[in-house]
Amino acid sequence: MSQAFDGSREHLLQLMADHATEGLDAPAMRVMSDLLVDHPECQPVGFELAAAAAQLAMMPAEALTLPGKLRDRLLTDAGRHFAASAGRAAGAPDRAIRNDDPVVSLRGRRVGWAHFLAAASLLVAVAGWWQVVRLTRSAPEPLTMQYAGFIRETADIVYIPWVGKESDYRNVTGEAVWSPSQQKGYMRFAGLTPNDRTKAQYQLWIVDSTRDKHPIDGGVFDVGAVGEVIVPIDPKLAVDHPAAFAVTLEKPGGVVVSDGPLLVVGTVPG
Amino acid sequence: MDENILQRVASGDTDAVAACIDRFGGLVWGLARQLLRRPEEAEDAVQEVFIELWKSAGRFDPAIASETTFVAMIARRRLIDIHRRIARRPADAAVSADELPIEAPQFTAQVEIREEAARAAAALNQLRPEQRRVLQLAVCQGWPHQVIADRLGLPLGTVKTHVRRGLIKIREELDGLQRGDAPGGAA
Repeated sequence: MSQAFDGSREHLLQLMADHATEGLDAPAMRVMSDLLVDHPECQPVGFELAAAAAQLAMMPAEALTLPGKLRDRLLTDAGRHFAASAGRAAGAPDRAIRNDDPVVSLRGRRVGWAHFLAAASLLVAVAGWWQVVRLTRSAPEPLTMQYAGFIRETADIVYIPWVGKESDYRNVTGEAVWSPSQQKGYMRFAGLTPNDRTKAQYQLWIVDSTRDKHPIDGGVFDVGAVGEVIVPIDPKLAVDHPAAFAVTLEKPGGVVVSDGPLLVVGTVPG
Repeated sequence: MDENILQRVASGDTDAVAACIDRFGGLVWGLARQLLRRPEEAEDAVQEVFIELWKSAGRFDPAIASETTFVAMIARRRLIDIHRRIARRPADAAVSADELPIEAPQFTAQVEIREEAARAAAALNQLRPEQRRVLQLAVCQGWPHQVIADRLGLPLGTVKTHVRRGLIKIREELDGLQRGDAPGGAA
């Protein structure tokens, strides 16, 4: 067994320990995925289970009781989840949603257990809702989960950290993550100034070095409140060789060609 | 006590959904309150955890872990993501490192800890106090390794080594449980 092999295994074990305790950013996740190819005997789930068991062992003697109103919300969530999975009409997620918006929206729409039962009864009358659930599990995930899943499961992910270019955007952090093979990705921003969508909207641009001088329109999005934002990247044109991602602030609906300043820019490494 | 509530959820038993919430709601709520300071954040997190649990129930394998540990693992995954998202810093926390207990862990009464947590406790008890304290801060408090290093005055590499070796020790104990070894018998 070579020293390099042992060294890479130690590195992998450390990444798995980091993953199980403080989480990994996208580049580290990518490194862990690469190392797992060389060390298939190592399984991150083993560390995650160990951390879970440790936390269980160190929990206080008196277990907390789930608040009743939260239990009600969980039941409502479950009804909505399984009903949506069962093939009920489910709208596409908003293009840009604050990280906590899915939960906020759940809070705002307390349909209630009775609604769940009514929906379930209807489905049972048709074909048995659980059977339908098992055939059509297609509920849209919250963007945060989509984002985390994309990072975990995408092999060719490219990580592009943001840099604020204008004075009001110096504190913007986050990254774009992009999969060349899937031609999709996500942007995560923290500290991006909220916009009034009736007056201006943020617009994403993707610079492709193999295309003409104009960057590819990545679409518009909104920031509803101060905080983190996750935005899917879904360009209308193929992105063959992305060199940079950039954000401008444009009139509502966006523009075809921008002459506005680049507010934040992410340069593709390499 | 029903041993296979997750399998019932995955196989289409509608009664199991509410039963699952009642069985594990307190556990998930407790984990969320440990890792997230604000109650409203914890409430939102619990909702996300259970949505993830509904999706993951079919992947539960009783040969690998108990339901309780599996649920705790799913919860921790989501909570770590949320924790990173909201970028909570220990500087915001009311508790200081010096106030944290380092004595032997106590078991919960309501939550079914079973043997896995006992094995984890056995492994923890074999660690040096400094190692155990680091693991406690990393696992239970959710502190970033760099912050632990700063607070305890340890090199970052030492903190990471303590976390890694501690988890390996616990994993070995859990593997021993699967093999039927006596507690504390792992190397």
